[in-house]
Amino acid sequence: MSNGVTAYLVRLRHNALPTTLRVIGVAVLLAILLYLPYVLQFRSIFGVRLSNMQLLNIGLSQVNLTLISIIGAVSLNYLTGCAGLVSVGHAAFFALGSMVAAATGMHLKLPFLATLVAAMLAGAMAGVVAGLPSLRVRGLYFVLSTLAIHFIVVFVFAEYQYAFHDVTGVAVGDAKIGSFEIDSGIKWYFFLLPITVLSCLLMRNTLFHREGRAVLAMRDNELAAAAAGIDVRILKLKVFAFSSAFASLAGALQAYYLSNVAAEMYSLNFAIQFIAIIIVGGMGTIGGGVIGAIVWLLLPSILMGAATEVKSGPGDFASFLLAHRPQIVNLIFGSIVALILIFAPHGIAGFLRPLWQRMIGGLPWRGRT
Amino acid sequence: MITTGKTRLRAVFIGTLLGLGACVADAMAFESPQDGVYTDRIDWGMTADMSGPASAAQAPWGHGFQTAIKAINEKGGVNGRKINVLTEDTRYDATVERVAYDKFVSQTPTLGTSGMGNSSAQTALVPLIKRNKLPVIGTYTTAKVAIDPPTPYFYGGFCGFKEMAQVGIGFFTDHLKLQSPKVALVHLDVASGKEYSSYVEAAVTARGGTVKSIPIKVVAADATPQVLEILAMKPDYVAIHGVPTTAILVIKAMKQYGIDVPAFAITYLGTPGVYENLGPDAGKNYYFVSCFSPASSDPKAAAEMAAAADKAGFGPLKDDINFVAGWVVGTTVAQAIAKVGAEPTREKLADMLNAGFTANTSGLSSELKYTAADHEGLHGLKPLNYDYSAKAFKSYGDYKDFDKYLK
Repeated sequence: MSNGVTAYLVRLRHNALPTTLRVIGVAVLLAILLYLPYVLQFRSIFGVRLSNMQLLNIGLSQVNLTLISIIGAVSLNYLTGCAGLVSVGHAAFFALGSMVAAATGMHLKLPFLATLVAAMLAGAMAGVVAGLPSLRVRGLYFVLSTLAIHFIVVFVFAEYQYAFHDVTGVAVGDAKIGSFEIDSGIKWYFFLLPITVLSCLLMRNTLFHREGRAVLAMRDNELAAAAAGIDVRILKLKVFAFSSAFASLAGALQAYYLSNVAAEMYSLNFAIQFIAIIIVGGMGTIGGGVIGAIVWLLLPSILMGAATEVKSGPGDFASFLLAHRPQIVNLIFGSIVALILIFAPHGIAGFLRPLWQRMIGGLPWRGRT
Repeated sequence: MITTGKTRLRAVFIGTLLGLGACVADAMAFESPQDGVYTDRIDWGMTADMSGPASAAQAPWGHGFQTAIKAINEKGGVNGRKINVLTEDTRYDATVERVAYDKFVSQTPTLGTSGMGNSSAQTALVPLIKRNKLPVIGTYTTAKVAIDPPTPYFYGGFCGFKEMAQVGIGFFTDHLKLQSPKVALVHLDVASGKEYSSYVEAAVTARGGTVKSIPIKVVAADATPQVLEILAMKPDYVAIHGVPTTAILVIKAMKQYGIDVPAFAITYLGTPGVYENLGPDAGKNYYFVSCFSPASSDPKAAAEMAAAADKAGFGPLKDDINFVAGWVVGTTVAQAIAKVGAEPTREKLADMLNAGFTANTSGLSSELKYTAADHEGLHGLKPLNYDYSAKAFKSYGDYKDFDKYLK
């Protein structure tokens, strides 16, 4: 195990907060997470009505879709950031998950939860196939092989869609657990939140076990890891299977959430979006995937909400700005992302980590065990 | 220091109590949502791809819609209230479309919404449209599942692919006096391309002809392979489905290979930009079928729209078919709200449309009529071409002249 990994694990323990603060922190976080969907649904806090901009122009749908994207982003971060296997074909597993969920639900009449498991299994198997080129090629050649996987899966999806369903997409059945139907934003939130949290915790916790440390060691130095007795070939396939299973789970959840999916939705832009999310959030950490997904998916909405508040202005230039609001918002969003990349090359999580450590370091419990 | 299981449980318990308490307080404070109608304004939603891959066509549509509403507001609005358009840029993304729709339902409630230019997203939203009862009036594209059978609260606002195929094939077959037409169809290898292909095939087969479907990529930079197939087939005429670049590439390559047969495109490709790019030599053979009239094809009918477009800074767009379509939907929405009365609600609006409503589009489109059995609205189309010497669009008759081709 490399020194970097050891130092990271030791640092995690040393920076732990005292019990009382941890209890308060977890309790407050949990309360916020439980209360959040009601605030966003009813647009009020404790009966006090809030304006759209006071709630940052964010709705429950966005939060639900962000929760799904977090699973996808964190799984890609596990593959690319933690294992060092750069993949641009991650959207393929998203697409595969949605296709398998739709197919097993419609044709095999499997119940909702069983289709999610089927999607994960299919994702894991496809992940092994997608990981095979990593045993022979490296660098850009491997990246290109993942790109090929993307196009193959989307092609298969399109053929399946046109052969068995409508050109506008594949209708996915209702999300039902027994007689309980998940048919509202709040129900979806309380279904997605634990799945997302558990997925993130599972991926995070694997990094603290033997296999996970081997994954980090492989990323840091593949030759050294092999010399230390790690079978990097098998490990790469395991990582691909593990990561792809979660990406497929996210795809299946998205399919059920949207109720209709089409091959067109899984474009290369969609694939690149996930790369952007983990770069902005911070590669190599689970938190990076979470923060990246939140920023990437919610910030444009916040900016758009702010732009909508600008009702009028003097002169032709103001009229031009008002008429081209979406373009201006994209310009601002792009500029913010560029600034993040310049001033926080390790992503937002990488930027925040030293600040957090400095804050912890200034407090009396620093170093307590 | 590692927290014990008991400590963790305590944290979860306290957090759950706090959260549940807050939820109860909030649920008790719930107020019924208003339908986006305020004392001085009516909020109306509009979604379009304003900055994504389909923005070349949908952004002019959005500008046309906004210009129409702006013109109506300058005249005093509808029944004393201004219409406030809440625009959401969906970037042709089904998930963003879903978010925008949910936003208009309850987050920033609107009386209704227009646009929705992604057929996959529209298909996904059909169950929600039925459940949430937010009227969708004047869509940029109309998914078959939304109108057949008619979805309550859903009303289309653009020419259908089926009608485009029927009028295009019918007109060119008769115009060229063909008994059994040989047609080459160049179409995008996407969902709408396959849908259009099926309609063209049905229309050609009904006329006893043959058709060859030739797919092309949306990102194609060259149409030579497709044109070589056309060359080998020697068709009587060519049908085109795609984006403006598709039409430009195909027509230019046809010119290069000396294929001198007419070609007609879907409504979305009837823009001055395509004709300017083609030039008079190649452009003389390029037609399109449309249920909307560009300003220059009927200056009298388009006078108000042209003036408003100039005033709003969108003068160059007034001949763009997408801008005209947006304007027509904008004026239709305003007329529908006005007809509902002084206190409009979502339910009243949908009931009124369902009972039968015909919009006055001032000749800028074919008849736009909704009934309980027909939520598509527009059916009539006509072929158009561009007169380079007059710098104006030229139509080949009135909409009613081509109704005979509609089945």
